[in-house]
Amino acid sequence: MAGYQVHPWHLVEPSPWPLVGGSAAFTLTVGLVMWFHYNSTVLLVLGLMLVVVTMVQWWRDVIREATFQGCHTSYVLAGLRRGMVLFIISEVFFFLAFFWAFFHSSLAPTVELGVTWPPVGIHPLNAFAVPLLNTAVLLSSGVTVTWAHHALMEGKRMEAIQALMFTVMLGLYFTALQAWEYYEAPFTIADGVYGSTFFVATGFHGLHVIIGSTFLIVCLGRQVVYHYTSSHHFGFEAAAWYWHFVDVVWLFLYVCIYWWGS
Amino acid sequence: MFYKFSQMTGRIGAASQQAAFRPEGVLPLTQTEAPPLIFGSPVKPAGEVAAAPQGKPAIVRNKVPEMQQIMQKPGNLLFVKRGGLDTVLYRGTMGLVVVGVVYACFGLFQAMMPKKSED
Repeated sequence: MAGYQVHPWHLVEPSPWPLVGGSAAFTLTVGLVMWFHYNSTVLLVLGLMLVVVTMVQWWRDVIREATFQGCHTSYVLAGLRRGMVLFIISEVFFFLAFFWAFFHSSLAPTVELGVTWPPVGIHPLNAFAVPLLNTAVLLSSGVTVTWAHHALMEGKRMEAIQALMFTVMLGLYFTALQAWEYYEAPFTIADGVYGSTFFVATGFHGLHVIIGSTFLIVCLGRQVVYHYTSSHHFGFEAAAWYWHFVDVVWLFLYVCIYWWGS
Repeated sequence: MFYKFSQMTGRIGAASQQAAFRPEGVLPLTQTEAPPLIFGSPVKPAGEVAAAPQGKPAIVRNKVPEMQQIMQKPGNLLFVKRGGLDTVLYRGTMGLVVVGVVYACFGLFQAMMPKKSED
């Protein structure tokens, strides 16, 4: 690809990753079947490994295209922004389904539940103990990620690194507190519809916090090795959007499930 | 249709064929300087302002310019652009994928034909 191009778009090179990623997902799916059906984890571990190495190499190539080849022009970035917005909207609807299930069961509790919510025999977690601390932790991390963004836009390298480190630490602290809360919980996912809706909704939120923390750790690493400029740091922006989304979902979970639901 | 980057508005707009001679992101791949529209004025690289205050050496060296040179050289496809390690990773991944898919198909085939129990 020598010479000039007379358009601002990015025409990607041939890449093995879509095919490899599809095959890895297939291996992982069959691995899950083998685990559930025959209690064998060999294929599951192989599938997980393949998915991870595909993600690492695919995103490494995206970084090469963006930071080292300059393929992410303002037109390309506009497409990436729209893609990320659509992805987050799809995530909103993913969580909407869990809230629907929760309100379906809690607004008109059936006879089997004792016509009351929380159901008879369920002792919910105290919303004003660890969950309130978790709310404060996650809201603070939203502040620190905004601090990191402003530091980045003003070209303050060390400040951006510090702010991102605080954000990552708060994210990990949240995960640790949630893990402890799960361990201590007096009900399980098998305790009727209360347990199911509680653990599926908060569990998927926890998974999203782990994914968001990983995304922010990658951003921190990229900031340390000088990948971002004051005006060109979409990878970080996408991570920040995702983090704010996770934050907002938590607020709804806290108010609806932990507070009102208890 | 041709495009060019406007320094005044900071956006890409319509242009004549001549004016579009150097639109954004289309510098020759052999050029070793950073693309001016990304790294040029008024954009400040995040590392330059506070990387090494009072002449202290930076703990982490900025390797972005070297990497840009390597990645903008014509030749190998992107996923094996750095040679050695990239190739090992790529071949290793492909090998594992083949093993995974064959093993998965074999597993599915076995599961499709359950053996009758002895009793």
